[in-house]
Amino acid sequence: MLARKIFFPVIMIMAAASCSTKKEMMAEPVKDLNATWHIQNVTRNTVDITQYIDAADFRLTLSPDNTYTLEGNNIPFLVNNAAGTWSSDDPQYPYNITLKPADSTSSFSGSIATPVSKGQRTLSITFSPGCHSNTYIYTFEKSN
Amino acid sequence: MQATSKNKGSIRRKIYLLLFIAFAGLIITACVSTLTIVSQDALVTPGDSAHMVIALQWSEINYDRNDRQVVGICVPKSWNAALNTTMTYTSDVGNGKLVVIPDGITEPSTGLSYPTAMMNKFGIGPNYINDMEWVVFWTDNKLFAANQTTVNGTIYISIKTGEDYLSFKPGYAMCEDEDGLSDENSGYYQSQFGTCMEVIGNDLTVDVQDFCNPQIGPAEPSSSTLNDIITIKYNGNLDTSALKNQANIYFCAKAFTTTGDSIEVCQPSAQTQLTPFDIKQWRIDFWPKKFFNVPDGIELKQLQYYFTDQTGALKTGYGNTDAPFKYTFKCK
Repeated sequence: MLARKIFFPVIMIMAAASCSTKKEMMAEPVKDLNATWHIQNVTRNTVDITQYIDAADFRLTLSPDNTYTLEGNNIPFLVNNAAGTWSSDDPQYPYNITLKPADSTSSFSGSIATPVSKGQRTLSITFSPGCHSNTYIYTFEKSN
Repeated sequence: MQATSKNKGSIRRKIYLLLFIAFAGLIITACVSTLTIVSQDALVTPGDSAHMVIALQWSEINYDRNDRQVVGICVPKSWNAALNTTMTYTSDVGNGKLVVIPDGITEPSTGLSYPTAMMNKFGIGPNYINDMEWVVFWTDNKLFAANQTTVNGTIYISIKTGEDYLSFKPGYAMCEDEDGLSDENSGYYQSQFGTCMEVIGNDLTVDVQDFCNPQIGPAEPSSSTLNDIITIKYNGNLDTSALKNQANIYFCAKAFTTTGDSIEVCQPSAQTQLTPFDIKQWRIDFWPKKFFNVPDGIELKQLQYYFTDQTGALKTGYGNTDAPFKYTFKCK
């Protein structure tokens, strides 16, 4: 009898609680690409060639004023010129990055991903700087 | 007390029985599929179609299945096989064609695309030049197979080859789209590499890219421009000279431009030194435009190269001769 007295109120409370809704609007964070990036990994046609290439000095700086600088690029990239402007298609869901060298009228695009690795946002750019049949993925980390 | 011992013994026997059944189940679930290469062209003229036939067999041993058969082929990238292949099947449960698996479909055990998952799982098999790709197809319809049945099927493959002269060992793989390449139980997938297929024409002046046999100085990728990263390997195990015994190996090359000029880089330096990656094997990976300091607007046609020691006294060329190795820039 005592059990029944306790049981029904508990059930009623649980039922009432289950009806309450809690809405949280989780805004997708803006992917902050403004940073100096260095290369963590390079694949060519899905094969990892990082340890065999000269990428140690490669630095790509994307600035908030939408200018970029490129230093130490001993491997091909979207652009080979040292400076210019950059843009991405969407600050929250960027799928493409475009670089336009200062001394050129042409711009060059690659698809990007911005996964978080070890608590840090990384930047992966997929592109074909030479023959269209070769696809490279450069994965960058932020330089300190 | 005696009764308790009997009960314990009975429980133990039941546990052993259950373990045996589980183990037997694992064994039974193994080998649920087989892949056999029935035929494969040995010699194909570049630009013509290469034909292969493989036989598949798969058994449904757990429950009725209604899913797609997945077939992957590993062929040179230069063939662009996704666009140049027709694949049909006949089977106990129906006939039809296989189509390239659409973008966005992933292999269930890894979440990767099927071509990437197959490359990770099977690689390029016995081929020596890593310039191949897995192109993966599945049956255009789901195929029903009842539990405890074995299905036999035959896959007919026709691929329009590229214009390159080459020889390679084609790879084949199969699985069901529900299982993918899962290793949870063995036997859900199978793979095989065939014998060497030659795609060679009558022009004896054309270089043949030999994927089937080890080379002293192979280069990859087969399609490139001066704005790719080129890999050139030196396999000292195949070199008859004393160069293979040197601690440091250097790259000595001449780049020929499309305007008829040449640029030579042949000084032993950090830039030209190869990196060891295996026993008596070295490699160099470089960006030709930067390596040869090619002016803007100029393209490269060919590289001719040797491997040397630090003094330049020891020098290895193509096939252990004085002739240079050659790498032609072409983009297809």
